[in-house]
Amino acid sequence: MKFNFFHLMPYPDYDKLPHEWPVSTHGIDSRRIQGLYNEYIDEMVDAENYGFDWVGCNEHHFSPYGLMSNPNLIAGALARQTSKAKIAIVGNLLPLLNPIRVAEEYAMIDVMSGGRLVAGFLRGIPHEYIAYNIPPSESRSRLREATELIIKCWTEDEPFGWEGEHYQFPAVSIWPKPIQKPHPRILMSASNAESAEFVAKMRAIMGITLIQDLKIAAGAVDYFKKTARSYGWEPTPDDILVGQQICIADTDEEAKHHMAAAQTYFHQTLMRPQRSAQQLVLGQSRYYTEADAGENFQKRLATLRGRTVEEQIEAGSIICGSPESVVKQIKRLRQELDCGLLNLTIKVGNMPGSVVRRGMELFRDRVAPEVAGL
Amino acid sequence: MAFEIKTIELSRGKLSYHVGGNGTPVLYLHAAGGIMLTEPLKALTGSHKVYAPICPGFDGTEGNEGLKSVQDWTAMVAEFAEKIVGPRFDVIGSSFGSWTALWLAAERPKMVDHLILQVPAGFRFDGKGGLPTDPEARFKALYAHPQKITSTPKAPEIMGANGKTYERLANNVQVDEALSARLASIEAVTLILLGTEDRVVPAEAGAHLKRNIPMSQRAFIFDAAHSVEVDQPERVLRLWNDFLKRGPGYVLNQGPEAA
Repeated sequence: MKFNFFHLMPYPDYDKLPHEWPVSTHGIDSRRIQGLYNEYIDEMVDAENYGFDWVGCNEHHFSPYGLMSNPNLIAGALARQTSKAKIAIVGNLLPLLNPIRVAEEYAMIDVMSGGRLVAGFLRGIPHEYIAYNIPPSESRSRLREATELIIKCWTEDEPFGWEGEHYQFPAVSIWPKPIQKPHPRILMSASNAESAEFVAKMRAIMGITLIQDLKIAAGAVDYFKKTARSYGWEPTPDDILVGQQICIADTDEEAKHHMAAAQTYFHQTLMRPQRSAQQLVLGQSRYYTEADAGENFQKRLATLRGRTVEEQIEAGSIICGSPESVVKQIKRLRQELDCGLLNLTIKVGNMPGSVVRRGMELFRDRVAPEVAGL
Repeated sequence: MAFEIKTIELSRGKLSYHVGGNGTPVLYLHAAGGIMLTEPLKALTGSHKVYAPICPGFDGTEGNEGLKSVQDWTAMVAEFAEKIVGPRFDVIGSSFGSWTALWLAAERPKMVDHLILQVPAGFRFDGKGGLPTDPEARFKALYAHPQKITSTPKAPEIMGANGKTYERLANNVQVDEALSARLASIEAVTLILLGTEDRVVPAEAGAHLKRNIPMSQRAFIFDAAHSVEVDQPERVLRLWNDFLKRGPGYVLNQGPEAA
C-alpha cells in the first residue's frame, strides 16, 4: 500500500462560530497564517521521511476550512524541498479554473519535481461554485471538457486549438510538457455512478472519501471496476484511493480523545459556514444530475457529523487509535475496498501540531512497517 | 439557402455538383460517404457561394472508370473549378475530401486561398484509424451524436457504390507518401480540424500536417467523432466562418470590436 500525507491546511484558531460563507477575515492576522504555512509545509516536507509515499494538498476558497486557494503554490515549494515523495494535488477544481493554466502549472510542478506529480482533477464541493461564479449545473460538463483539454495540452507536441462547449482556445502549446509520459497519473473522485463512468473512461485513479458504510463504498469500487472493464482495462489496488481522517496516538483512548476534540472544531467551526451555501447550491441548481446523488452527498455529511468517534471507526469512516489498532483498521480497508492508496488527513481541524508530529512518528515506527507490504 | 444540382461535361467526363448561396466562392469536397448537406454547409451558403462536386460513382451518379486515383479525381476537380468556380477560391475538404483538397493545393497552389482540412484522410500512420467494417462499429466511429443527423439516410446500394468508388481511388494507400513529400510546398493558409472522439482519423494525422504545412493551424472540436459537421455543427460553422473571414488572424479574440 501507499500512503498520502494529505494536508487541508486548516486555520485552527477561529474563536467564533461562523454563521455565513464566505467567512469574514475580520480580526485574522495574516502573520499568524504565515507561521501556519511554515508549520504545515514543514510537516509535509518531513512526511516523506516518515513512511509516507505521497504528500498532498487541495483547493478550497473563502473560509478557514483550508488556506490553500491555490495548492499549486504549495506544490511548488514541495517540489524543491522534497526529493522522493509523489506530490499529489487532489486537486485543482477544474470547472472553476482556466484549464490551460492548470495544464501549465501541473506540468511545471511535474518538471520541477523530476516527474513526481499526481494530478487531481476534481469538481469540488458545491458551494465553491459561488466563489468563482460558475454555474453549478455546468460542473460536470466543465470537468469532462477541461480534463480532455488538459490531456491534449500535455500530449500534443504541435500547437493546436480547442473548440468546445465551455472553452475555446485557438492557439495552444504549453511549455514545458510534463516529464511523465504519456502524462502524469490523474486522480478523480468517483463517489457515485455518474462520476465513476468518466473516471473509468479516463483510466484515472478513483478517489473515494466520506465513507459512511464500507459496504456502500465497496459497491462504488465494484461499480468503478466493472465500468473500467467496459472501457477495456482492469483496475488494480494502485488505481483506488480512499480518503480518511486519521489520528494515531500511544493509546486508543488518547487517539480518540484527540480526534473527538479536533472533529468538534472541524464540524462546528470549519464546516459550519459551508452548510447553508451548499444547501443553496444543491437546492437551486442541477449540481447533481441524478437526484439520489445529491441526497447521498448531504446524507453522508450529516451521518458522519452525527456519529461518535467509536461509531466512525466501526463504520470504516476514519482511522483512529494506537498503532496496533490503526494497523488493523488499515488492513480492513485494504481487504474490504481493495484499495492500494490511502489519503490520510492527520491535521484534522485544530489538532495540535504536537499530536500531528507524534502521529507521524508512530506511523513511521510502528504502522508503516506493518502495512507497507500489503 | 437551398442547394441545386447541376451537371457539367468536362474533358474527363460528366460531373454533377451541388451549388447554392451567394458570396465569395467555396469549393466543398466530400467525404467517402458522399455529400451530406449538413447544417454548417447549408448555413455557409448565407455568406458564400458553395460548390460541392460529386465524385463520379458517388451518391448514385454514373461511375467513371477513367478515375483511378485521388490525383485523377483532383485533376477533374481542378478543371471543374477553372470552368465554374473561378481563378481563386477557398476550399473545405472532409476526410477523403481533405485528401483531395491537399492534392489540389499542391498541384494548383494559385487556386486555393484558404484551405480547411477536416478530419483528413490519407495519413494513417502505423495502420491506426480507418473505418471499421462492421456496420454498427462503423456508425459509432462516424457519429458521437447520431441523434443530430438531419439528412435522410442514403440507400444501402448508394452507400455500397460510394464505398467501392472510394476504395478504387484510395488504392489501399495508408499514408500518401507522395503527397506527404509535397506538404512543405503548400502555399494556402490552412486550418486542420479534428474531432476529439475521432478514431477514424487519429490525432497523429493532424499533427503530421500541422508540422509540415508552413502556414497551418489545427483545432480539436470537442466531443465530435469523425463526422464533425454532424456532431458539432455550431462549433464547425464558427471555425469555418472565422477562418474563412480572418485567416490566421482568427486566433485573436476581438471581443466587442468584432461586431
